[in-house]
Amino acid sequence: MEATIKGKQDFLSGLLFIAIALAFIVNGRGLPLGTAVNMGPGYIPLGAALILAVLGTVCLVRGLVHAGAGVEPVSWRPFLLVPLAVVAFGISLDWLGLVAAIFLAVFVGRAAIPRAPLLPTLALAVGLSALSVALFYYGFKLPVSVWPRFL
Amino acid sequence: MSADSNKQAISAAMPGPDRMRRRLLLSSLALGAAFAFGSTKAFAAFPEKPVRIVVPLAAGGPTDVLARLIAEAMTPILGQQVIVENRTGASGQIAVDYVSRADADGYTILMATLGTVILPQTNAGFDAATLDKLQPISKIEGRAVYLTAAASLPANNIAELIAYAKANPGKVKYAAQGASDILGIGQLNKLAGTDIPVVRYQGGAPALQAVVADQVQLTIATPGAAAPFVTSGQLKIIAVTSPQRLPDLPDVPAIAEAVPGYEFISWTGLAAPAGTPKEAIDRIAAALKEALAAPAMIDRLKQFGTTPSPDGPEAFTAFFQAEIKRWAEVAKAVGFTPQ
Amino acid sequence: MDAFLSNLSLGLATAAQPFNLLMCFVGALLGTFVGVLPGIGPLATMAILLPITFYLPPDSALIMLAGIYYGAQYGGSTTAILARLPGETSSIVSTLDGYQMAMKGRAGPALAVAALASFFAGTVATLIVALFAPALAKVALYFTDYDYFSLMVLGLVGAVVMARGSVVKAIAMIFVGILLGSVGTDVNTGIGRHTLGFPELLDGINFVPIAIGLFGLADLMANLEKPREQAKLKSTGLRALWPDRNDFRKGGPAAVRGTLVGSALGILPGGGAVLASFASYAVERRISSHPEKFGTGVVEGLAGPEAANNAGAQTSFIPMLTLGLPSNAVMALMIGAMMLQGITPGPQVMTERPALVWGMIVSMWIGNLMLVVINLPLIGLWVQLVRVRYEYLFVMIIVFCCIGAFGINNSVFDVFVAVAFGVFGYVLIKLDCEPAPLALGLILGPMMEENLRRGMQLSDGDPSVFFTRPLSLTFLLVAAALLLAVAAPAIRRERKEVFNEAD
Repeated sequence: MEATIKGKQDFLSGLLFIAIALAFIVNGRGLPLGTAVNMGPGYIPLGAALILAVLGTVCLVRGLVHAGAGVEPVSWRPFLLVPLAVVAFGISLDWLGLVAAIFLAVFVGRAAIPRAPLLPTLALAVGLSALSVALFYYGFKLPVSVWPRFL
Repeated sequence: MSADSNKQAISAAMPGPDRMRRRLLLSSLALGAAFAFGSTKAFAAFPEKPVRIVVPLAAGGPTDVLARLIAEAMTPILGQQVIVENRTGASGQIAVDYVSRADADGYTILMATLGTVILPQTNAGFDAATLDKLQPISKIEGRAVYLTAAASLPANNIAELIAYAKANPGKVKYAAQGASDILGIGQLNKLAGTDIPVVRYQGGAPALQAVVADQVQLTIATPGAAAPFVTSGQLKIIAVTSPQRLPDLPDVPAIAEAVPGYEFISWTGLAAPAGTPKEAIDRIAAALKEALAAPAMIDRLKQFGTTPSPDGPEAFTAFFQAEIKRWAEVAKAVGFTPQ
Repeated sequence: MDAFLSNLSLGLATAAQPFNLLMCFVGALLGTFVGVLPGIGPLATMAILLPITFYLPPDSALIMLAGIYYGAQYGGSTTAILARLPGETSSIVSTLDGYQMAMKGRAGPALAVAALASFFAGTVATLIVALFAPALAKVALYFTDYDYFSLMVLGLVGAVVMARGSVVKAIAMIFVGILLGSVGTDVNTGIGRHTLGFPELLDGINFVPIAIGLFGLADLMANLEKPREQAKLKSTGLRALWPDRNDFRKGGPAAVRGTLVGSALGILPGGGAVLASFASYAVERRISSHPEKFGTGVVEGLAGPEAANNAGAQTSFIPMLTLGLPSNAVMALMIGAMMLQGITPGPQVMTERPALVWGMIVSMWIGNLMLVVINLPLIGLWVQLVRVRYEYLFVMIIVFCCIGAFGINNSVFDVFVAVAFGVFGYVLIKLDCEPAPLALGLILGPMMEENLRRGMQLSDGDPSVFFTRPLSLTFLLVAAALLLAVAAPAIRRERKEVFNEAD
């Protein structure tokens, strides 16, 4: 199977496009289509999804028959830790407050680079917290609490 | 003391913060235990910290400007900063959900509008019981709006409009700004026996623009928004939506003259989460009344084409409930289903 | 001409009052900073300052608010160029060649080109506003749903021209954008589409968290896997802060063209200004003798769009000033500010309060001048910032992405949207699919659909209006020609390749 895919990048792009198109088609099943004169909410999304599916198929076929670029390997550390840092921020912001959320994001994010030293990371977290509180809490008055809500 | 224990009982019964609480428990059990103490506070003298008015509409719009005018005027009266915070989205559902779940301490209040009470009609995902989790504080103002038409429309008043629309089906279209005025025109169609189709726009400005540019024939407009175009001759006022004619416009008929029973009043008011101590509710209602009594404020509101009509918690609660019921009936009558 | 001069002197008399100069400066400076910070846009800032404007005279209040808006257009390109973080729709294009210039160690010249092109555009567009505002207001009203739809089609075809790699993939990405744009409440029926049960999605996916994820976070993840790339960013020395002669020779004409494109699109009240920077990029690429180099850091790809963007921002004041009709959320807020001041917006403002209107117009030019003075010295500072080692810089970017995503709507939900699109964007990088066409599809898709469906309703279902309205027909013909010009060689080439393979 591997050998028959000549352009892995094109092939996988095609798969991705087809998957997205299918997701929208399946999820949009219940939307009324209407008519061309009085288009319903499902008309344009379905049309766009069908076109995307066709384009995806073109990519897929091209990947099968035509030699093209391969896909670079994924480096798991940043791929997992950068999103995790943002997720940690999002989960903690409402209840632990801005400072704790920034600390979490900094420490988790920093782990995306192997062997990150502790002290500069701590300094960075303190600095970013101070800056953010001054700028976003006092300056732009974002509706967040600075410290955990239960304190 | 009794107010405190009351408040605890109510907040314990409210399902609101569940989701958030779960999230918290996920992050730390110890913190979850601490949270239980978080919302208890002695109720010495309200307010002892800034009060937030949550506006369900975008900054800069008429409702937002009104909220800011009031916040500005209430700040010295309450002796605490009154802050306006925009939480837009889902026709106002986001803000209503948010305030209904907020701590019932009087520091988070909602700028309620006509759009608030019709949420059960407009949003399928909206739990109608959410409205019961609000404690209405006071009305701010209520106003009739103008039914305006492009200058090119042959009809000049409501009676002529109905006759023209019946004789020329499809020739008159209505530029709708949102769910509430769709209900309004639906009610008109129902009562008058017309079939004026609705073309939807995203908000008041584009709808008005389409009529000014003569692309659609009808829309509703606030007096402030319509006035300049009426002066320039691009728009004409067909009728007012109040049950009677307005003192300022004695020559313009009320829709109800041609269509008995028709009424469309756009209003705003303040509401707190249910269970907010009475002291806080009364304090806010009194401050609002005082703010709205200032001559400068009356002048400002006049520019919006409205007059202040603060009524107090009891009257506004009755009005609020009556509006919920009325619009549910209208929606049912015109066949408007929540989506 | 006499009227023009007297208007201008009246405006100058207003704008040059010391207090108004101060307010103009405050606005421009604030705008620069909020433009730099992703998520905190001019809209949020203006909303925060709205109560303060209450205590200012009307002219000072509007001068300051306007300053925030166009100041943010200057500042917005800074993070786009330095960190591939577009804070706003308009700065997406600057992540293409602007960011590549920075990656090649030319962050200084890139920022300077952006500032100078913006200043030039601001000057010309202000003149256009002053000279033609009343006449152009009528043009704005002449645009119908049909014309907007066809203009949007042209815009999307422009996205294909922009694409660097495969045409098929670029078109597919546009459709992914259109599909994502369809998330939210359907304008015509109020039915929620593809919201997966989240009320937060009823208004559609916010653009800023998508941009933060797709461009900012995804790029961060990709950068962290390549240690060499970090070294490149680090080497962004003070080698050259100022653009060289080649930058001026190539960027100058591009800025002129961008200004024209942007000015024209900004006038449209239906939100034509969002197209400005994209359209200019497409134009530059189309007429370039080396289109294949676009996306690798060519100066025309930065100067043109930056000019277009700022010109569009200035001329988008025209419908607001002359008709009282806002073309975007920022203009709606300006109208709110007027109402707070007791001024009823509308066509009469121009005649009843000429000092206010002309004072604002003249202040725009003064503000643009101030912005260049503010921004050019800041370049040194920004470049210093990029010299911070990437292992620290990237953490700062993560934190600002987080706060930015939250800040746009004060909603944690948007933070998670940013994460999701960060991961998606990373996958797209691996598959060599460009995010810019997706962004354009996302922005234009909903507008296109709305205008198409409304147009069909207004014409009672007769599609021929799209071809009989002269404006609409012109846009469609240009779009078709452009598509042919781009697609034909690509298809021929791909066919040939396929056949060669088959042999």
